[in-house]
Amino acid sequence: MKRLLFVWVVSVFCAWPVASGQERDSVGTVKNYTVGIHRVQVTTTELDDEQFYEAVSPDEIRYYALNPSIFDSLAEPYRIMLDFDSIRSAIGDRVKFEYNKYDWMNDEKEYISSFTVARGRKIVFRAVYPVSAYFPDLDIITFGWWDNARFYPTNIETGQLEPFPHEIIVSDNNSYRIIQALYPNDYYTIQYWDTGAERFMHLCTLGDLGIPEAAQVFWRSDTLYLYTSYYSPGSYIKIDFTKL
Amino acid sequence: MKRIILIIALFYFWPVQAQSIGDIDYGMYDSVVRLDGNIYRIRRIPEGDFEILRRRHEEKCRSLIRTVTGLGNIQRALGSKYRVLFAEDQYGYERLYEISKGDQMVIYFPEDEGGEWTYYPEHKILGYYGGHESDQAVNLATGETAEKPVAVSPNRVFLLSGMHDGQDYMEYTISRWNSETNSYVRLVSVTEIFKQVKNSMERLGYPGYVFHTFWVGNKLYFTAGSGKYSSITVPWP
Repeated sequence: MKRLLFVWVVSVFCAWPVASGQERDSVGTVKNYTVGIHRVQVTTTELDDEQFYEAVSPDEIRYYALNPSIFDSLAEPYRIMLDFDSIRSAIGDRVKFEYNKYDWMNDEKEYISSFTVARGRKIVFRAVYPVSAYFPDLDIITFGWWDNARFYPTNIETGQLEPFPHEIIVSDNNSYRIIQALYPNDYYTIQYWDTGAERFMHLCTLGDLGIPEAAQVFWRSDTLYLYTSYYSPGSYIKIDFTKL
Repeated sequence: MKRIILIIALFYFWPVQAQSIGDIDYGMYDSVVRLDGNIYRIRRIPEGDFEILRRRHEEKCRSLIRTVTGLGNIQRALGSKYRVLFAEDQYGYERLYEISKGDQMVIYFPEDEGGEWTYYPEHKILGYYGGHESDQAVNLATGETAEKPVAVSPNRVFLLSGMHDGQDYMEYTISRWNSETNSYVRLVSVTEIFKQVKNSMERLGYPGYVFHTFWVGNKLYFTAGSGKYSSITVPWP
């Protein structure tokens, strides 16, 4: 009996962190931000499944999931180069690449281990990545293992990481947009269309609102819907933006 | 009379006294290996003698290596020239994103590696776990791949550094202090020496299972399997 009790106590103890999940303190809060001449109130609310799917039809989610290229056309309004030899000739000798040789399954290959940019800053990768793309208009080079993986978007003149628009989702009334950049991890910034300046300006990040990671992101007018699995269990969130 | 007793006592205890202060000199060597112009002398040691030396020297060789753990403490140890970008994940584990040294250098760390972050300030080396709990280390001054310091000789002339590959192999490197470059310079790996010794598996053991390493003067002592105790004499600078 004692042994059974011991096993039960240990199993409850082990399962506790998974069951309890991460404490969240920001959802449900109201924050005010100033953008240009405007003040915007941001309210985050947690929804259940039903409320979420009332706002956003599952068909739309399926559509976005099956057509990721819809984001590509938004995210890449720039010239893009994918062939490494062409990239190297376009960059010239402004960047010096260093390689590591890896014997994976006896198929020896070289991958970028570090590189030094024009101003002398050395960039070191502790994991190996091939070059994935170069954007001549932005002078940004990216790395990654898959066609659409654009990690560490680096300005090759300065060597600084620059938030790179991996995905841009604009609200249907063109008042807001959310940009996902892959730095340093998923990083989402929300911008507001400033009619005076006639351009989008920074409002806040999802991190500011206590949401470090998001999926299934949709706008409905001035409301942003998303699902976050960062907290256990995952949650549907509604974020209302109100002009004050 | 008292003087005679004292002389006899001194004569009697002298060899024990000489032996206890450090090394045991066996006079002859089992193997001599020449690599890159250096001569390494290898000697098998009786278990009893090895254990006596080990008790006296192993901990001392480790305690000479200063370590700093925890990424917040590592940031403080590195000072303001470096910036350590890290955060705690949802389970409370530290996740390191990057370490940058002003505009000179930035080192990015992969998302799926980490844990047990240990900084060795005298060597400017950061060690951590990679895949399969393999040892990973990087020199934060140069950005180059490094090895974790394991045992330093009490006079700090010799350094043994090592890396576990995450499977079943521990690779060790012997380095020697170079006063001109003010740094340890790699001499040879233990595996390279084993390869030069005839029937090394039978005589010395398996180089991947080298443990209980410590220095006495310029001799590196180790065990490499059941009943296999040896030393390598490394040339002085």
